[in-house]
Amino acid sequence: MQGGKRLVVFDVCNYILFAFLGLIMLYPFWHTLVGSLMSYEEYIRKAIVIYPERPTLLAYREIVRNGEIFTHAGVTLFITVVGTLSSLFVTSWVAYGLSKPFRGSTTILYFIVFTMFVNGGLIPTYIVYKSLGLIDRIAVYLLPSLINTFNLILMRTFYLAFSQELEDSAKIDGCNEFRTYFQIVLPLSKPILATIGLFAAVSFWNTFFPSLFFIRSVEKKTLQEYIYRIVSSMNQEQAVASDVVVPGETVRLANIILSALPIILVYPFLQKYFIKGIMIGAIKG
Amino acid sequence: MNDDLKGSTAKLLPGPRGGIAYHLRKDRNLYLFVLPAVVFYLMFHYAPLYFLQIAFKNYRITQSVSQSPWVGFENFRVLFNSPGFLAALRNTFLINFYRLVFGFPIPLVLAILLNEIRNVTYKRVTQTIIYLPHFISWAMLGGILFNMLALNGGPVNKIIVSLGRDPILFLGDKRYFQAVLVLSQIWKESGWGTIIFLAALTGISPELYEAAWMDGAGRLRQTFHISLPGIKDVIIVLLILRLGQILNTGFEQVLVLQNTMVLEVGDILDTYVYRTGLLQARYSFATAAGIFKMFVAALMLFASDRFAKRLGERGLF
Repeated sequence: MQGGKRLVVFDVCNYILFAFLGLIMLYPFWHTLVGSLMSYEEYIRKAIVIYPERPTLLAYREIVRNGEIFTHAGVTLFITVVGTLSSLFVTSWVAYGLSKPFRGSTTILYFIVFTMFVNGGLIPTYIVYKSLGLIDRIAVYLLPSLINTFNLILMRTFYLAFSQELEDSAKIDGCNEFRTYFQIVLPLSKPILATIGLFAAVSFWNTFFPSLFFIRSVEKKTLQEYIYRIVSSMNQEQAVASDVVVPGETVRLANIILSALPIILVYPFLQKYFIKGIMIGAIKG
Repeated sequence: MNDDLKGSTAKLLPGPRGGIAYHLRKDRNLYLFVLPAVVFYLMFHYAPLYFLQIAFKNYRITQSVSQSPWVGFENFRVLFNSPGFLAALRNTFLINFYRLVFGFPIPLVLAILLNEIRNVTYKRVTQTIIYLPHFISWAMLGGILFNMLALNGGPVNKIIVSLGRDPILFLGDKRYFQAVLVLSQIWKESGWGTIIFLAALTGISPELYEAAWMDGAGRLRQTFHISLPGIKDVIIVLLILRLGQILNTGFEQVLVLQNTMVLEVGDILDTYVYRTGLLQARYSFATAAGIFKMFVAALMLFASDRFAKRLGERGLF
């Protein structure tokens, strides 16, 4: 936008606005982090939590001692790694195929996109999973999530824009589609793979529904459902307007920090990848 | 012509040129690329549709679907007469309506404002921060909210008390619960929502802005006359999609945050069905509710698309 080079009142306000927004976005995380590092008494005592007077790892020690979080973190970690890799592979495989013009490719595309608007609902899905033997098995986290339609469309858009000359020269050299895919296209797909991979990884890490609906064994439940149980077990007391903040409040905060840690740590570094990826997908799509 | 590259094999293939057999042979590798997807979608997305018929039967988990007796629209009749259903339906519409009215414009406005920031570093840092809330789950955010909105220990209430007023039990108070739902979702998703608008904004040719500047248009007028019309299509498509989702959003959020005290205003269709249908194993009932939801969603989608077309816009289909 053109507006001259001067810094106008508007610009100053704009900068302030986003600084303020940044603060609002960050404060709840900060509060949770600092709260988890406090002793229970100090937590109740203080108003706005800015820094812990006497930082302590009490809450974390409690969690480690209890140990249940590790089971669920393990499940979640497993499905995140395996799920992301398998999903990336299958999705890019299919997206590449769909980006090529061939008889029926549009039909298949509509066939797939249609499912974004219509789905069977919970019970029918449950029945299908049951007949496939997926109920209460770890596979239920992985198999149905192999292809995400939205990601598929994004990847296909990326491949549509892919340089045709590279592929043509490969074909002249005698490569069939498979070799072209593995040896040329795939290595060059790194940006989109990183983008989709990040989306997929976050999605897997936050898995909650399938754990709630399709898994019965406690040891197979995901981290998020564990957090939900911890959080909602306090909910009843909260709702009854108890006089005392239930002991373990800081423990709850610590649980949240632990489960959010991987995301928050990895996030700043990968942010630039997925911005680029979305831009590519959004503009062309 | 691309065909020539494989011309030699093509001449040897059975079937007339252009027939199915021809194409199947010519592109057989490509079909292999796509085959897993077809199987996948058939299995996980289309197969469940077959079982939608449960809504018209009296399905028991012990029998197979074909063994269960037909009951026509009985399940729907029960559904519409169930006490919590109407409240849940009303809440769903209301909450999503608020979300749309308050939550839809915010990412748009933020994107436009963000677009105005010259300092690249500042812009990038800000974006990094505002995208962050999108990535945590509702289970986690729910926990954070319980803390921050707590009656005795929470910072929000501590501020309220220091201002001399009574503390509010936000999550247990019918007057505030819906506001908490809407506001927390805005907090979580607004930053992320700017991405698609920002992407669309970058698609507007800079020459348009220069021409307007030459003609004496200030930045505000540039916004209204260039930026907004330039991304009009994107806005409309997103709006239509959101309207189609009107009965859909928020299950995890509401499930985590709700409690028995606020059911009257805080229960949405999905949580209602979860509680009464699933937890009580009333599967036909729950499926009927699901069909009803789909039906209304499709209705809203088409209606808003028609409306957009009536206004002269492109719409979705």
